[in-house]
Amino acid sequence: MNEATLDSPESRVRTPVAKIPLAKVLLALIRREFWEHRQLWMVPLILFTLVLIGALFIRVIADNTGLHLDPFPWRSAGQAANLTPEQSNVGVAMLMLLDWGMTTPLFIAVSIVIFFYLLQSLFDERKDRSILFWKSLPVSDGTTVASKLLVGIVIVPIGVFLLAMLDHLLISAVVTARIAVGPSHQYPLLWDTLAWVKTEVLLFYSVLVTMLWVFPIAAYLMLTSAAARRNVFLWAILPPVLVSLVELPFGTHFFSQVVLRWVPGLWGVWGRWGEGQSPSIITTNDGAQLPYLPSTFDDVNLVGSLSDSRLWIGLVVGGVLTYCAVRIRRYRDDT
Amino acid sequence: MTPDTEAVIDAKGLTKSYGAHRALNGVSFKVGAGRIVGLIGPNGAGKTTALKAVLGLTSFDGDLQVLGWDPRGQRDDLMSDVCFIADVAVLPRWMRVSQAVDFVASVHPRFERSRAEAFLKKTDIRMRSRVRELSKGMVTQLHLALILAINARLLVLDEPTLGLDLIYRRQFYDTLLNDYFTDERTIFLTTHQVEEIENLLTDVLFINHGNMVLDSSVEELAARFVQVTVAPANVAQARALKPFYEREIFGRTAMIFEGRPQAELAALGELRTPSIADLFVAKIQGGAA
Repeated sequence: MNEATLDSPESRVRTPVAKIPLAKVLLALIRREFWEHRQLWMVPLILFTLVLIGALFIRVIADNTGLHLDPFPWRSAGQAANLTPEQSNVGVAMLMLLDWGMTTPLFIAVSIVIFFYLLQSLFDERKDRSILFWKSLPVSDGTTVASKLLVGIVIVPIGVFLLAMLDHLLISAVVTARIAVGPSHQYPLLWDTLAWVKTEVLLFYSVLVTMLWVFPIAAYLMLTSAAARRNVFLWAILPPVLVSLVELPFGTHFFSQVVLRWVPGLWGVWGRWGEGQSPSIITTNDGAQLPYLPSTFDDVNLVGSLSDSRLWIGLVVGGVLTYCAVRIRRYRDDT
Repeated sequence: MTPDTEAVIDAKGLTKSYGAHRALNGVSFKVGAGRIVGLIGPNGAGKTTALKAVLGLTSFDGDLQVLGWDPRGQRDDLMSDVCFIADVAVLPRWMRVSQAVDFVASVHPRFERSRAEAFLKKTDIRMRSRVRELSKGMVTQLHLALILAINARLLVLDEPTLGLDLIYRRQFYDTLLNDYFTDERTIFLTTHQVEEIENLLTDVLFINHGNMVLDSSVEELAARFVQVTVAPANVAQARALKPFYEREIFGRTAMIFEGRPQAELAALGELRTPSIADLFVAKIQGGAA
């Protein structure tokens, strides 16, 4: 009497069907994460726009004493009229720093968003019991956890990198245009395409190393998310703090050194470019020192970064923690 | 192989403890293909634990085969042929109806999108709505639409109509029977609203305190159990035949006998086959007395 029963459903339950390829399932799961956690794409897009608006209004002043980029206190060397090659390098350095600096809030804000996303990732589905719906579908716990981890530490960071890169182009264009129509034409903010490419590759490299470096932290957050009964935030924060406190009477700082300095340790890994030497510095006429990002790129030592034993220990620890999170999601039954 | 001889669920000695509490105490049962089996028991009897074991959602001791798979180790394979509604409220509240259909379509190889959409068209549910905007009854309809469009061999339902009003409950079971059930599909469900599914079931399993107290097909029940409305004069004589349950209704005594020939009982009063609800009360209370 209705179309659903007309064509013999008996045959349908037994007809073998092809498995859906893992890649397709993963894609569906990843899309689901962006449906559920809209902050993952909304925050980056809002900040992307804010940064651009900022580029329209940021005060760039050139006067006798030099160049002022408010609110950035950087100051370059004086007389714009007679630029030496060093000074044009200063102009390029300034522009790259302006680009990089203006998109820093994007990365900071998204890191915070990702932190809370990972904490919620396996917790909310238990709280609202929707895990029982997800588990009624032929998707393994491993695939589910992997999709959330991928979103948190690969897809969103790379997406934000791409947005930042676009922002850099647009900021440079806007600022250059403003300078062109502004009162002071010979202005030492200079576009250099090769310098831009190098700066972006450097940024991408930093994002890449960061992704690997924070993997154990992300896995720890997911494990907390899978394990905590309530107040997942406290469960994530307390154990590292407590263990560090317990260490105090013994006069050791092993744990706090390892864990609490993990993120700052990242700078150490980045610093592997040119062992011990900080990013290349340009000195301006009035003695101000500016990091010159494009030449920092020249010093990048990818092999050095990747051969840091802490990175590999971190990856192994992260793998173990992820495995634990998968097992807990698979076997826990308190919903 | 005919559907009747093949067990869709084959459980032997299922045991599960939560601390000191034994939720399942060596329970064994079989569910044949093409049956609609009700797992019936009071709250805390072990129904949900048994279902969770079947669905691979909990650990347990004992042997369990579901469609030939072990739900503990082969859950991912199992879930292509089994679908379940654990609770109507579990659809994620943030999800749009269209997203739910898209998602299931992209991860389930046996999902027929057109059937889900056809079913939804008959309801007031709009594709743009989010689950949190739907009434509880509509959420059930949506979940049913998703599940019925999956060509699964086994459907497991855990108190699927809990908290729904009568209209939606009736609709739910009607849809299940008319649009879904076939000889090759099997439905295994728990409920404590026994009256509503009496006419639907082909088999009943009564569970109490983690033990199976009755395992029978509905046809067998009529042969096995007789309820006699005993005239006051015959009460003593009737009690001598050892009813396992009796209760007073309007001054007459209703007794339920198991395994007594009808001829022997006919003299005592009016005979009828007890309803599943009556039997349930009798088994659970009578068993304790």
